[in-house]
Amino acid sequence: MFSKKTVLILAGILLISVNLILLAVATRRPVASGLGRTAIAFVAPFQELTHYVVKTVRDVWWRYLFLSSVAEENQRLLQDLGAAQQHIVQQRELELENQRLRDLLEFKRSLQSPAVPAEIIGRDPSAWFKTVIIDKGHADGLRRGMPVVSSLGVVGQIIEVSGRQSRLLLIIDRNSGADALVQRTRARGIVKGTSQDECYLDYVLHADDVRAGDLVVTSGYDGIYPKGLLIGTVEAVDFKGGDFFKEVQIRPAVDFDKLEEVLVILGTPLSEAMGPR
Amino acid sequence: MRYFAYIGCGLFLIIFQTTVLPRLAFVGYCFDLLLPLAIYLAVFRPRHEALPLTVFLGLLMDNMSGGPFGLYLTSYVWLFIAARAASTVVRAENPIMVALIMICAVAGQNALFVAALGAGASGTVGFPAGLAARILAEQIGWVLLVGPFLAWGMRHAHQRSLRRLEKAVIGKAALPEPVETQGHRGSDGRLS
Repeated sequence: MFSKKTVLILAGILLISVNLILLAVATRRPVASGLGRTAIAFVAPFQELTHYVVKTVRDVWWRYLFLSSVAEENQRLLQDLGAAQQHIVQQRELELENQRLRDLLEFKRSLQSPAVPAEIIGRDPSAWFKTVIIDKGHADGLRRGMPVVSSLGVVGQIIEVSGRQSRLLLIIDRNSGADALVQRTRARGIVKGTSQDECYLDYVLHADDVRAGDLVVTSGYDGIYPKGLLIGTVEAVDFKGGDFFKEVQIRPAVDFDKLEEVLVILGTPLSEAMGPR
Repeated sequence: MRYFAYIGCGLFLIIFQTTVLPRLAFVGYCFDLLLPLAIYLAVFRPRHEALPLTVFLGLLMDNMSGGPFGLYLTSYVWLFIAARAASTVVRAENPIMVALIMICAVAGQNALFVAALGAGASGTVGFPAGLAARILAEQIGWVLLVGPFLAWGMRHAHQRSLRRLEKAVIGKAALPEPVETQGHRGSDGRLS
């Protein structure tokens, strides 16, 4: 009655129509059939198994096999951390240097004479002598006999000048001397070093009033140090009965072990008279 | 070449002593680092080589130090004479002997410095005996600590130079025509 081709076309149309009707019905009111549950129950264990295998493999990869790259990354991070810490230390050093230089600059402004900043580059090889080498010399205008100070007080004087460096005799050296006054009572004496981190105010008369805690400043009479620079604080006064003078121990205002930057005061009368060496 | 090596070594020690060592607070009062070098030159090297170098090192140190000029030179030259005299009496290759010579050298140098400071003293401030005792004690302590190593190093350097010399002498002796030897070694192992 119908050709085979016509039957196939009709069957196709019917199938598509039924399919569309079922889809339309299912879209409007989803129903759970027993077949679906069976399918889930059948497939899910395999899914679960596969999931755990993949998860385990992935975990093993990330947690153990991938550790080599983690170790490398850790190494790199440690290096970065070290570099950062080094950077912080350098930054701190710069901050401290900046602060010291600011203090020095402030002090330089307060001085009446021009001054040249210098850095200490070497110290005396012997424990008995207290001299240091600074990085400024004749080319920078330095001359023998020029006073050297820091923002805290008197440091010493130039005793030898070369082209680009100079030797500086610290006031704590036994060969050093500076005319000084006790600020409170104007008692006069000579500050002498001991080759230790302390000085003595020598030739102070018994009658003079000097007490622990008094400030000792330069008198300006020696022609080297300008008047009024702080040398240190009186730490102890020894009254030796038979002696004509008191023994006055001074703690210098400058910590010579930590001293790094200094100011050389140019143009003092004695240094001009002494000339270059 | 050898002279340059010793001068280079001396310069390195001076720079280390004046720039690095003062920054190491735990070191305190370390002995003069050039003393071991001066002792090595005096004990193990021939006179014509050791004396000019000792004088040179002394002058160099005098220029670096703020003390009276000639103090280091005096100490090194006297050390040279004393150590050389001692090496004829005792076996200088013994590390204990070298350490003892170093202790004597440190004590002698400090005694010289103290004498120089005492001679130049003026005013009412007394001599810092406490400081002297502390400096001497710490310096001898450092010698006791590092002296044996320095002595071992000196002996090693001496034996190495002897081996090199022996090789050179044997090499020359193998030549057909007669050659002059570079010198002979005395009973103390030193070249003459």
